[in-house]
Amino acid sequence: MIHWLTQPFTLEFMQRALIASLIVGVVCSVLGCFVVLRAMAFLGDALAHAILPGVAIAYLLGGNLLVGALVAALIVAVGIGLFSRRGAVKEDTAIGILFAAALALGVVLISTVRSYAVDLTHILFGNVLGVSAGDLWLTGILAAAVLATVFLLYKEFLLASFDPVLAHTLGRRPELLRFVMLILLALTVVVSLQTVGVGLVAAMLVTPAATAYLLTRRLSRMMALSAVIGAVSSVAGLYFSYYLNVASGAAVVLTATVVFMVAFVVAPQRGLLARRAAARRAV
Amino acid sequence: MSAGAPPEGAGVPAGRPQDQPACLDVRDVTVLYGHRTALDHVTMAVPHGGQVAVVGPNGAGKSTLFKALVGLLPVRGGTIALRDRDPQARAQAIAYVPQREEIDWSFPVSVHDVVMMGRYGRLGWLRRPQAADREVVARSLKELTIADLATRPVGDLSGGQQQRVFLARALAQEPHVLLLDEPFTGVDVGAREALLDLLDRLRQRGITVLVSTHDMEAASQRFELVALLNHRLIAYGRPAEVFTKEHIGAAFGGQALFLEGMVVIDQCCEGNEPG
Repeated sequence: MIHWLTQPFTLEFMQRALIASLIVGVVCSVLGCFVVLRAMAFLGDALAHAILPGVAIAYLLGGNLLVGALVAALIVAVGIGLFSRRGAVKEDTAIGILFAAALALGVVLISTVRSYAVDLTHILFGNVLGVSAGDLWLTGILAAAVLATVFLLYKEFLLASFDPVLAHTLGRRPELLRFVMLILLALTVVVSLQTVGVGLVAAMLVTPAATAYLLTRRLSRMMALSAVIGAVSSVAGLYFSYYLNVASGAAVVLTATVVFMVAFVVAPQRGLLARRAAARRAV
Repeated sequence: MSAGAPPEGAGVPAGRPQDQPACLDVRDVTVLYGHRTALDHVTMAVPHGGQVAVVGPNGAGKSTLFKALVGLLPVRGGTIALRDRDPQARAQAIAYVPQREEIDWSFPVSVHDVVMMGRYGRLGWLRRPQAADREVVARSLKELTIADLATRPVGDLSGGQQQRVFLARALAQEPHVLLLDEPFTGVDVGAREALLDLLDRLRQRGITVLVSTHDMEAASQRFELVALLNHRLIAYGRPAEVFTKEHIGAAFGGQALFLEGMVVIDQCCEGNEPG
């Protein structure tokens, strides 16, 4: 059994994959709490797809994919922030148009290369086994920056998420905080690029946080629990990927989904069984 | 006329308390809502520690007035001044309790967390609550008799309890002026009495209070000042001076029925009337 657990990580690339997965699992899950509570899931997904052209250009120029993604993500975050202030169409429509166009542009750019199918798959669904030491450093620094910002601005984010009106009257600038949140979301998407890819990052943002939401009624605890669920799902997913020889990012996401479904049924108070029991008592 | 008193023609009858300078001075304030004029040159001076019931038909601009006072809506013309406060500090000194529907009650926060939010304005960015803040929160919870609910999630509470949480949060802001938007709507008799008692205690502490309400009985019997609003300020002064046939007719139009010295205001179908 011990051997079964340790054997995958005797390989160096698997060690890097483990660390990268843990980082992504924790950062996505912590920031995901705000994504879930502020109903920004669609925005996170859009942001992820919208960075594809940046990744593609970096790839074509032979540069670092993460740096390309970072630049694109920041541009897109600023763009959405400015765009959603006042628009001719509703915000979700505008985002829908933008992100589909960006995805298409990314695919067009990548399709100019021969090994197109394999490369596109890695970008869309991640390739955690290909994480280099340099990638790991960049991932770690970005992740630390995101977590530190969430920690420092915890009370501001809590206020602006729960009661933007009060935030405004207290001079807390909710629109500025939303903008900071968008930047954090962009950085998180970049961090997740290599492990789960742009196609699945939304799941990592939403699923562990939604699971934690079912299990606790306090934001600080929800964030801690979400981080644990994200980390456990990442590691477990990596084992499944190794032993079943399936795609790692997808395995991580499916693991998180199974955890969510269990919580959905058995969670105290908010779970299906608890709600059924409460309804029966009420009759 | 003393310094803070309103100019002539503001609909302020003689005999209102003028011995104290105005705490909150609203002059000629106009607020637009899209292309419509929500508030039309409203002028009213509220004395320090005064309590004003703001009444008028639905859509008359009661909430708009409050939102303009706390800076949530831009003021198109006129000025809002708070005694001893520069405009930046004004928002900090005014606490606004919005209508209950405007909040996502399923949000994972405890009662204590919500009341602590009242302290955030004084705390400033990045700073964490200190012992003094926790003391103010504990006092506010006690004042509203919800200290025993402190660790409960807000989503578990009844409507009346949720309102008390928001009142406690407003008190934790230690405001000079308190704005309550429709606090009597949808609460039971006990909660209404408890709220009126709280207003009496606030009066003794010199906190200026504006309450928007449809509760004409409370307005006429428990407030020393009434502002009758329908985009314009139709009348402002003591209840007996404000609640006259002409004023009520001007504010409520066909909704007001006059029966043998009694006024009945038909507010059953508020959603249907224009603006």
